[in-house]
Amino acid sequence: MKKIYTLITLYFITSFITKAQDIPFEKSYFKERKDEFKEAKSALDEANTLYEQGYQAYKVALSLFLKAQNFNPNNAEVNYKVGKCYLYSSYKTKATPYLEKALELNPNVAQDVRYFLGRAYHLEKQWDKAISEYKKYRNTISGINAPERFTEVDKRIEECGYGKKYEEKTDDRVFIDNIGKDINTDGPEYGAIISADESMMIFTSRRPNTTGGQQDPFINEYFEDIYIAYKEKGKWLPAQNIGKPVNTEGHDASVALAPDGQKLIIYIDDKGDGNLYECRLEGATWSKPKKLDNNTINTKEHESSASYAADGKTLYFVSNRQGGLGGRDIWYSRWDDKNQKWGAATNMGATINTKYNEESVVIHPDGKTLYFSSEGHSSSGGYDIFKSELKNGSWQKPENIGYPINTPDDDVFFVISGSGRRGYYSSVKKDTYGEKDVYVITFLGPEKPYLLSNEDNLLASRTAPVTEKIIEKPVESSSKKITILKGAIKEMGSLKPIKAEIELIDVEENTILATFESNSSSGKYLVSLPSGKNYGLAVKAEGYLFHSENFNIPDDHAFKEIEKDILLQKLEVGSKIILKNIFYDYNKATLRPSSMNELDRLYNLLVKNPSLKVELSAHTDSRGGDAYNNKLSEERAQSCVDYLTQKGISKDRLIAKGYGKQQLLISDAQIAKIKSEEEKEEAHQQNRRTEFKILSK
Amino acid sequence: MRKKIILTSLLFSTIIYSSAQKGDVIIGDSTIISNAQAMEAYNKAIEFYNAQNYNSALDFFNQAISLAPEFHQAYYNRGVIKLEKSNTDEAISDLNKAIQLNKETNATYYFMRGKALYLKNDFLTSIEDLNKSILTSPSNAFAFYYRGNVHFELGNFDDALFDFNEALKLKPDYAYAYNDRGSTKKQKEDYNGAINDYQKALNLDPKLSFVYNNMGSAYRKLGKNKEAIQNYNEAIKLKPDYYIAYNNRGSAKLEMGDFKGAIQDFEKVIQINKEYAFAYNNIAIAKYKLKDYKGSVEACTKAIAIDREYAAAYLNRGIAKEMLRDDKGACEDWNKAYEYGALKNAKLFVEQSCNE
Repeated sequence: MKKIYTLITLYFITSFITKAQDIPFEKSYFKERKDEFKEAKSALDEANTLYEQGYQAYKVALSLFLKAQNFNPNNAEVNYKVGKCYLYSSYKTKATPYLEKALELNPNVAQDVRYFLGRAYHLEKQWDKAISEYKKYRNTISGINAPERFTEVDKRIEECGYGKKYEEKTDDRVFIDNIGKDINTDGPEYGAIISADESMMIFTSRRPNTTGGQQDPFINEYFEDIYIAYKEKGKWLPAQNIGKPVNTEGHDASVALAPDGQKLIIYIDDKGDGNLYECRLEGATWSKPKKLDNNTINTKEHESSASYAADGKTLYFVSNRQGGLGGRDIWYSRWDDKNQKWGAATNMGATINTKYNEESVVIHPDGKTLYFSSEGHSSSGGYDIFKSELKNGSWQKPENIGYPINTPDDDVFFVISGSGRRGYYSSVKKDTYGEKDVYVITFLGPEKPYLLSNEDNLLASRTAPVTEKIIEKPVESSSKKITILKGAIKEMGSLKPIKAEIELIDVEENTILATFESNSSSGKYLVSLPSGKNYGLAVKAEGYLFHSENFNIPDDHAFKEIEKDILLQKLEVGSKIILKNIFYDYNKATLRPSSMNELDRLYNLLVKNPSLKVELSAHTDSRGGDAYNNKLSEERAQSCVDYLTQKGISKDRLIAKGYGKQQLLISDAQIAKIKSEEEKEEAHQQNRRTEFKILSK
Repeated sequence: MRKKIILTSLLFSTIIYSSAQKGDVIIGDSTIISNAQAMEAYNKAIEFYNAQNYNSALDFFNQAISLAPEFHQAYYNRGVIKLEKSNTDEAISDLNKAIQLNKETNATYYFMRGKALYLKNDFLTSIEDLNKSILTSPSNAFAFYYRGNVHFELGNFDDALFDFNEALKLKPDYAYAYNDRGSTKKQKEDYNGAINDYQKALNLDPKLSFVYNNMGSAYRKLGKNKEAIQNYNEAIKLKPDYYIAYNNRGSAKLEMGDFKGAIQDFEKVIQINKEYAFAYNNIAIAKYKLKDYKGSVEACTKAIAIDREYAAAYLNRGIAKEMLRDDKGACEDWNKAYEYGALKNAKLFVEQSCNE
């Protein structure tokens, strides 16, 4: 009996020693350290006042709580509050030891201490520990808010389940790198948006050089400003403040950049209303932000992110307006050409939107892949980035893009390059320069098939083994199926940049798909051509002969970037152009319907310039006999002339010439030097052409 | 004196494997030679040959020829011995002389020259001789067999199949022909047919290690790596230094996901033959799969040190370099893989990842 008594006493003594005590923040406990106590207590009181104001004040409260905690590390409540403030900061994973300590000092320090400890574990990807704390917290829920709390904690538990699964399937062919100090600083950088060719990046940051140099008094941080950076020879040059009139003294945040980098959408708070504004790059300067259409794009509700479709004719955006599925939803609006405004907004529907929030939508220039962030679907915590593909006219079930990109914290503001090989987003990682930084994500795509080497002694009478035939496995394409055509439009001779209109034509359908403009000060243009169409391109500018290009891009064509400067010729005698979008039936002079667009352009030019007299000439390739080639080319030129005369152009303004193979662009000797048959055929194709020359003005 | 002279010739003189097969070649009647001294030297040569004293046999054939320069049988036999001694060029020259001196078309002479030309990799000339031999004497299984070999080398697998079928009709216990027909089927991607033939060859001669190896590779092509490994095991049991079988077994293990086991096999290959570039290339893949990208690059570099134009090793090294974030190095390697091996995928990788 005596033995048992001793054991019990020993147990109590031991537990008293090992278990730290919750030491109240009272003078009597710190008799030896009066002055320090006074200081710490005052910090604590101030911190508590801020704490009561809500999470926006947590950042400031945190530094004061830390001061108090440093003085008295064994106060459960202070540890709890430090942990909670960290959870609302950029450095969430610092919360864990404080919350663990708070719980250890006093399990009843707050009813939700286990929930927040669960959150901390969750954010640290300690999935099982998080689930365990969430479940323990779940058992303590009561009161009128219970149903909501149950729903919330159950969602968190579900998120941990997803997160665990994603982490197990980590894609080690994805690399996430800090983009570097030319973009990132010790302040926060986020909302990075890029042009399709990644030559230009615009992002939001809070820096001392913010326009007006002021801090937002509510959060004690600099007002947001928009910054711009350019990439040259694979390297980002130091970012610059984009300046006025885009930036104001208030918050200015980047939202969307058109694939060609000529249009920018920004977010302006408008006293809590939250609206989207558009700026255009006019020459070298950005225009004053103009509010996007009221009632369709902007409402009195909150509009945040947006994304331009490559043809500029659809705008996807996020709004919490009524008629959605709950919280913020993704909507889209089509450009109404007739009325020159955005049409009524349509909700993307239940495949994309959930009852939770959706945010930061991005439509890839291929027009078939939508990226967005959502707190719903199969998120592993906070916002996760999802991808949905358009198949047979409908958006497919969004797919979580997984770990390591998605983390238990908010993963938002994700954008992807035209090639699909790189993405950009903001995150706080170990190598951050401070707060949120812009990170570049490299997608290597599916594993590349390797080649084993083997041989066998296949023939009994031979010593030498026979090497196994190399069978190359098909490569799954990791890139997006689009072609990016870019360059500058300049005047032939002087090389002066020209602001020109670029019409993108669907040759088979004979319709204009989209119209773009080149930049007036640089002449730069960029057009995205999703694979699977025969594209015609017509470049027009006042006082110049139009220029045409043809790109027939098959369905399975992988990503390609073509850089092509286009030189426009003045409307002068002797100027000539190749009409690349005129097509004849095989070995015949009959014009295909797909040629009409180009001929109509010619027709319009002749109508607009009634004194022009022109020669239309056709050329064959070098194969076949002279007589045949001459006759065919002559008849082809005549077909073009006939088309124009039938439309009303006077015959005496048009001369048809068939040059056969007399004026080859690429000689046979040059063709003989070309290696592949495919390229040889392409050279012959270039020789077969229709030309247009100004004879007199 | 009429005496049939029989010269036993090892038809499969160049076979490295244990059970060479023998074929008898009757070369005719010696009485046509009127020079008695030459005749005597000739007969002595045959005696030495039968006693496997090839050098003395050669000396006496030389003597016979200098005494009777038109003695085509002597040229033929000297040619056979030279072929056996792997002196192919001189053998062909003797066989040319024998054919030139003999006024009739001798199927045996043409067969032997066809075989010699085949061993010299002069397939197109070889096939002409074998055609002549078969036309004159259509019952020689060996002639069909060799012509089958020539067709195989030329990539004419259908013709090869025809010849091996004929050889087997004429000589149903022809284990080599079964092996080679199996290999022809393997090249035609009829792996089940190949396995059947290899099995028949082994039924006739269970000591043919290379047949086990070939059967293993046919199974590997079918994705039946377990069966493949069993066969490679048998091949290795029969021939413990059979590094080709080790290399193949390693590949089967790799394809089954046993990367460490694969590395053990490839390392064994290198122990036996440290110049075997394939093993280094394959180690590189196993290391890549084990996420040891640096090790993978190193192994490929060793393979390339042995064969500077080893396209697959360049391709694989590029793949490992990409994981090490050495994009420039990866692109350089893929360009080389395309340059040396015209590998389609190498070009595709360059297009996809190297246009920065």
